[in-house]
Amino acid sequence: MDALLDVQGLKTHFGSGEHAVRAVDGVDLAVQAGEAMGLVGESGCGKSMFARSLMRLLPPNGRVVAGQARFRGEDLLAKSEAEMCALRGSEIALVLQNPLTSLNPTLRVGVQIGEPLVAHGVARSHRGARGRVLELMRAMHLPSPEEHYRQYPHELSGGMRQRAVIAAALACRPSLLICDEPTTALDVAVQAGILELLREIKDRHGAAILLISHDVAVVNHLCERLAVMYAGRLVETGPTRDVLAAPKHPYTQGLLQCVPRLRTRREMVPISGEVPDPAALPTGCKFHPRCPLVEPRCLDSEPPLAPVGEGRLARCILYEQGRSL
Amino acid sequence: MRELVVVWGQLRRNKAAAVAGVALALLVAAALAAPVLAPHDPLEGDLSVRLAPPVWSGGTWAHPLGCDQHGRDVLSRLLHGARVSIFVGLVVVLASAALGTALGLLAGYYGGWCDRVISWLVDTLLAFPYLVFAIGMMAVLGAGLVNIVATLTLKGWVPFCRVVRGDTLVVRTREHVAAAKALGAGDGYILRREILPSVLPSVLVLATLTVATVIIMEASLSFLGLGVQPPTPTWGGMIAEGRNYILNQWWLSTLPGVAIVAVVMSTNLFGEGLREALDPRLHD
Repeated sequence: MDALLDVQGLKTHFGSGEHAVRAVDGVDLAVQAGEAMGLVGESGCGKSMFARSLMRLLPPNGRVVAGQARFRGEDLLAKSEAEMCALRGSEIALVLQNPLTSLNPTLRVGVQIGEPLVAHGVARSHRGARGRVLELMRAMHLPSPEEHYRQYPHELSGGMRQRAVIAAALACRPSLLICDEPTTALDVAVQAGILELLREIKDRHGAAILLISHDVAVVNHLCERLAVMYAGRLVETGPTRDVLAAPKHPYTQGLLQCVPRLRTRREMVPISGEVPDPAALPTGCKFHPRCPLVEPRCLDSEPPLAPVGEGRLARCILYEQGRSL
Repeated sequence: MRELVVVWGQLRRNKAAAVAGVALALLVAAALAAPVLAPHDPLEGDLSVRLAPPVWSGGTWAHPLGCDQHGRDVLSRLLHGARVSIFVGLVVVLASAALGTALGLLAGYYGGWCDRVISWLVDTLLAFPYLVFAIGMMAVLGAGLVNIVATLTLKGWVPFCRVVRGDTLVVRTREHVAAAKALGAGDGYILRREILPSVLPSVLVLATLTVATVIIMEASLSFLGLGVQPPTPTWGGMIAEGRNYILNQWWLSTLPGVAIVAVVMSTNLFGEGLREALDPRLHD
């Protein structure tokens, strides 16, 4: 079966020439219809720019320099701005990180949720969209839809605002929902509620979800598969359960050791060093300056993504070697 | 509606602004009702009461503020003069705000050549002193109410454009704009619904403050004889006509001057109060 979204060799650079910042540097990723896919990595590894490249909403100095992103077989990167405009919010919706800022403070919540319906011609007016909006608000478990409809964003709590944002994103029943750190700005209890909601959306509405997060626990809660991103490229992909149970790439291993665990009281081990400057990436494997298992060969060339098990790939010299033996 | 109540509540706490607001409301009412309120015809002179003094320096209640050199009642002329000042003030500010906001939104949102052209126009117009510009334009166009409005608007939109362009540059990078785009909003929608409401408070405050400037400019032009032509009473024109008598019949120039000062001060105090009332950072 063809994937709903099939990204091949996507490269997004900022600036040009030798000093170009390579924010996304050759990412291949496929999302099947109705599947939840997690994209994990530290801040600054290119996750958000990957999402924005797909939506064609890059900041003015960023551009996609290579690759394709096939959505239902059509390349998003080759579409005209008008075609993208028709697609955004109706077929693909993006939920941004901060619900406190992603609602317009000057418009009533109900109107904002109904906006995609009006923009994409599903409803002729906000009055006409009202019934559908209230229904959406109920589906998002907003406690009193009638009242919230008339309220302004600042009158809602953070969790309620994120529910409103997701309601707007789902208004036109998109087949792909991209959530960029949807729970990062919320406290843990509210976070759990939003994740529950996303799971419901996936199960009940059959929408595929691409969940971008720096939090492995969040991804584990929702996604069947996950991809780990480092310095603009994927370093490991596979079924979430398998990857988390036995991470193959040293970076994934490091990420998991940073997660606090209550039960085992295991020491948290931070990954040493920092994410490399995407304008001056190291030679060879991009992770070698921070890798505990670094060998001299790691500095020479970057290994390809190599199969490391059932449906799993990892980009490390350890497995390249294993394959050649 | 609730927003208006909040703003009004804030405004009422500021005594000066509240008083100024009431004074302005009274003045607008008086100007509208001038034909009813004025005790005499503002154009009809009675030479038997020529240069009659106001009531406090020996005049009669028949002409409470005295009469001018043609025997016309000063109070009636002040009331009718207010109509010109307020009409020009409001029309010019509305037109300037509309034009300046539209161009400022375009320049700030689209940037590029659109911004360059508009900013170049703004800079060019700013280089002219207001009065010099107005005198030049009026000399070319000729005196008259329509030409005053056109001239003052032609210069008046510039500050609106600058303020709105600056605000737009800030607002368009906010996340709710990106969020709207991510859900398929087009440029028109974003300008209208996402950006315009955020810049409106600045426009509103600037508009109130601009009314004062425009009234002074209209009075200046009328004073110089380039504005609304006699015999239509205007405050600037009254000051000009009265200045020959300033030594003995001081009220002829002074009273319209006081009227101008009162209106300008009220609008400024009101505008200032409005700015504070609309600025959430200043609320407690």
